[in-house]
Amino acid sequence: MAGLSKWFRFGRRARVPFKLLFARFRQLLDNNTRVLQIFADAAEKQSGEYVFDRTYVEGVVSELFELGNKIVYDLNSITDQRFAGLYPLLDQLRAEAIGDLSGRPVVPRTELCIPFTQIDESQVNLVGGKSAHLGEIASRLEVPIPEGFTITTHAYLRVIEENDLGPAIDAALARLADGDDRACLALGARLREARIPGDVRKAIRRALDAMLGRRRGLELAVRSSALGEDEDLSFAGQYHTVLQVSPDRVLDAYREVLASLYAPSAVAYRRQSGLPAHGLMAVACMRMVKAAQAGVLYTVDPNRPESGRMVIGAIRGLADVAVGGGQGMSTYELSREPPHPVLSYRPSTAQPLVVGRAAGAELAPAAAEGPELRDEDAATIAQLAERIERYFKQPQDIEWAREEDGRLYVIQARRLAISAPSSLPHDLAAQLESAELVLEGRGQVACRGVAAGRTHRLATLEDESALAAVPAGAVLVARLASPRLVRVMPRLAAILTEIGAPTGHMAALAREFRVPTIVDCGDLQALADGSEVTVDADDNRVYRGRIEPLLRYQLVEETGFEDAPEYRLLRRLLRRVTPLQLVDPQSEAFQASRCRSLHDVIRFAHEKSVEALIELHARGGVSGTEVARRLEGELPLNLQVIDIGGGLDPMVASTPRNAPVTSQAIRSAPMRALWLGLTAPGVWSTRPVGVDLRTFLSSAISPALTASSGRNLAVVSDLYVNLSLNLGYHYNMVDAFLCDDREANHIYFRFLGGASERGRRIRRAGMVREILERLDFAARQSGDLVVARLRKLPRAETGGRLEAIGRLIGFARQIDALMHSEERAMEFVDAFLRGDYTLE
Amino acid sequence: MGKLRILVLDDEPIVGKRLRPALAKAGHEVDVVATGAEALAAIDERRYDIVVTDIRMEGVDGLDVLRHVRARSPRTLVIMITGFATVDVARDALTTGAFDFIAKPFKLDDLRAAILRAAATLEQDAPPER
Repeated sequence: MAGLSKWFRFGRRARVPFKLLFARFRQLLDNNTRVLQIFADAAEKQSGEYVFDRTYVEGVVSELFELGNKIVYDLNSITDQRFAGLYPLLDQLRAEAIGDLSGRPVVPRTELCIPFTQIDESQVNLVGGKSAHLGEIASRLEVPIPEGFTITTHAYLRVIEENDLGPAIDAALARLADGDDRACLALGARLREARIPGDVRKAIRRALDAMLGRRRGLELAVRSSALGEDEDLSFAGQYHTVLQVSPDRVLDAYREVLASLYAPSAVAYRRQSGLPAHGLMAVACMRMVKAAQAGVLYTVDPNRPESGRMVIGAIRGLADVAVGGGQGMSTYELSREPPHPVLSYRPSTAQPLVVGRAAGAELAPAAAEGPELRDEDAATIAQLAERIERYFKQPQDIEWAREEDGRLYVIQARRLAISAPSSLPHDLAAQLESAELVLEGRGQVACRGVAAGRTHRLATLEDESALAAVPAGAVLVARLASPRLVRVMPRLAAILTEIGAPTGHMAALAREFRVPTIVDCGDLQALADGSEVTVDADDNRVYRGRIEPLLRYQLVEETGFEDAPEYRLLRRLLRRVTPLQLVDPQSEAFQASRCRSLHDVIRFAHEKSVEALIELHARGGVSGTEVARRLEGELPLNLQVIDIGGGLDPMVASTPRNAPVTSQAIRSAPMRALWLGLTAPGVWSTRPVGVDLRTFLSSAISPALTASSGRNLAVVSDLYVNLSLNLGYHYNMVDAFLCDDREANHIYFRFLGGASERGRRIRRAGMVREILERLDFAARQSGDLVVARLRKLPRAETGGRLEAIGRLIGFARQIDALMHSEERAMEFVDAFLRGDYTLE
Repeated sequence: MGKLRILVLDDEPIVGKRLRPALAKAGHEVDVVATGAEALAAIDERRYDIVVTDIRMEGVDGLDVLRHVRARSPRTLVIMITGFATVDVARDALTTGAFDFIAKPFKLDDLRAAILRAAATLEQDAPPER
């Protein structure tokens, strides 16, 4: 490799040997793949199959950010420090992750107000536990909650800064620790008078306008949503709630709630609970429902957990729902089993109280006599409650309100504390012995949990009406694990599929929606009959009938595994690092400053490093073959080739630097094999589209690729190739060594992304993985990423596989638009392996 | 597999929390403790068929527990749970009489399999009393 000793000018300052740059580039690619694999591994850990601890999450954080920093370092050494701005972003993300791990949350200085509809659990540091919980219920479970928004902890910090209260808080806490609560009380008074900064005012005004629209006369409930509240701790009664707030009084109510953060009893409660004494207060503003009826629902009778009953307390007229332990409420007992028939009704004996102040519901006066709720209305409330319980895997205490027109809202949902020991089924193992097993150990668990319901066989995934017809609470039986099922997931009890993988996209969605799921079960005809079954995805079993003790058993675990602190930490971490926004390298937004997550950073780094290698060569002062040369010929790929020793015909060195080379000049053995595959007859066929090849490809790939700043690069030597090929948004990366010594031979292939909708991308990735496995590669798929390796095969076999990779790259490119269904994808696998690229 | 008496020791609460229901559901009697000292006391008080313990803990660690079990109740089998950094220690543990070890993070099925192996070994040695 004589060429490696050559030096060329790098940037304006230093000469860096290409060997070194290329080593950095390869390292960047390797680390990039490792990050993607950690993402996939960590996502799999969320299935509940794994036992892991905090140390594991700490390990993931440190490994991810170590790799992230290496990637950014390598990118910067290739690009003359053009992207040093990525370091502070990584530091910020890492600080947030470590803040979560250490229990000292870092507040992202982003939004000041967030509507409920845009809140999920990942924003807990901004919106507090209570709001995050409500947002989760509304978005994941499609449970109706009243409109509203949360004023974030970032806004709280703005208030503290604007009023310079930091020192006063420190002093008050110190004095409280010495037993003197006067400074805390004085602090409360200052917060009640605090000036609200202009940006916060404006954000609240905007959020109110968006919420109220043209409606007049609405009132709000303004409630605390402090960090730590409602997550593991109830903080019952520690913080303020202000009810019946007219929109023009929201700022006063806001100050009132903020002031309660440093009430001496609240500080004491935080200290006892092991939380930092310094609090962080977000505040939720929710429309007050004009309730015709309101009340509470316990999904399990706290006094008789084994009775199999739910309890509803209901009231109408002017009374206080939240206070008084249900006094003045009528009581309904319902069966826990769908369709939740009412088993008993006991009318209220006490006189209703006079003042109407439910937690978020203002009660309209009513004169009607008789039961407050019709049986079917009670059952509707029970169904919503059951959905929430199934998701959190814990008995729930739910506040509900029903408007005159029958619309039902959940105002709050929290864990219902029941005394576990009395309700533990003692002889569960014996009871399970006698139950009828329908399936055992057949499939693979994708999401743990236990649920019962009637089976519903989904004949086809293509028909929207078939999906719409899936009844609530069903155990869905499907042939394929398709991400399309996401539409019905919020209302499913469980999912069983004949085909699928726990690492697939549907499995990830099932975990997100916490639907107990077993995939890859094989033939499920026996379950197509609509009978009732109990799915135990903890033990990979399905029982005939409803096994009540088993269902109860999961409810008496202290917390569902998803709500264990370690799972929360991991989930929050993943939601922080894995979302990918920078998908289109051609778009304006593809900039370092637009990176939001670690995933954005590594995608950006990959793209820019390829670009930089090409550009360096384009303007560099090197001669000979080590210049990036444009390869022209059979395919309009705008491929630049850099020869690092014996990869191109030596004659090329004597031609002008900007002159293209043809494929005949390729001397690199592995590159020749790849090229043979890429140009194999039919592989790039455009017959279905019916336009001329060159026009189609150059328009379909992307305009910029045919311009001078092409992104496709092959670094070659006589025995080596490293190819980065971007076709549309999807990447192919091949790294291969090919010689007579089989021990040294390897192929590494990575396939990622696609320009189309996610479902199709994943199906296409599945097809690619299937083909690679049949070609003896060790291949792994997560989402739309496939990573495949093949090592130590003799020269002829390795060359043959490289050629196949070339064909696969071309084939996969053209079938993107045809990936309508899973079945179709599998047909393409067979067609490809037959050598049939016609796609008919 | 007969009904076994199992002691689980880990100072990370999640491990006990996850293991107890999984093992109890299979019909085993499970005690969960969070410190080595509690484990030593429990071992003195009851006879366990299997002890599952983390290797690295503050104070009395997994190896202390292992030694205690070997001295008090030679029939009891000890399964060690290790963090990935302590695999060497785990190898030492195997040579000093641990039955098996599992590295964190692990699948519940991995532990179930280890317990099945332990149960088979116990049955070979002597049929369970219960």
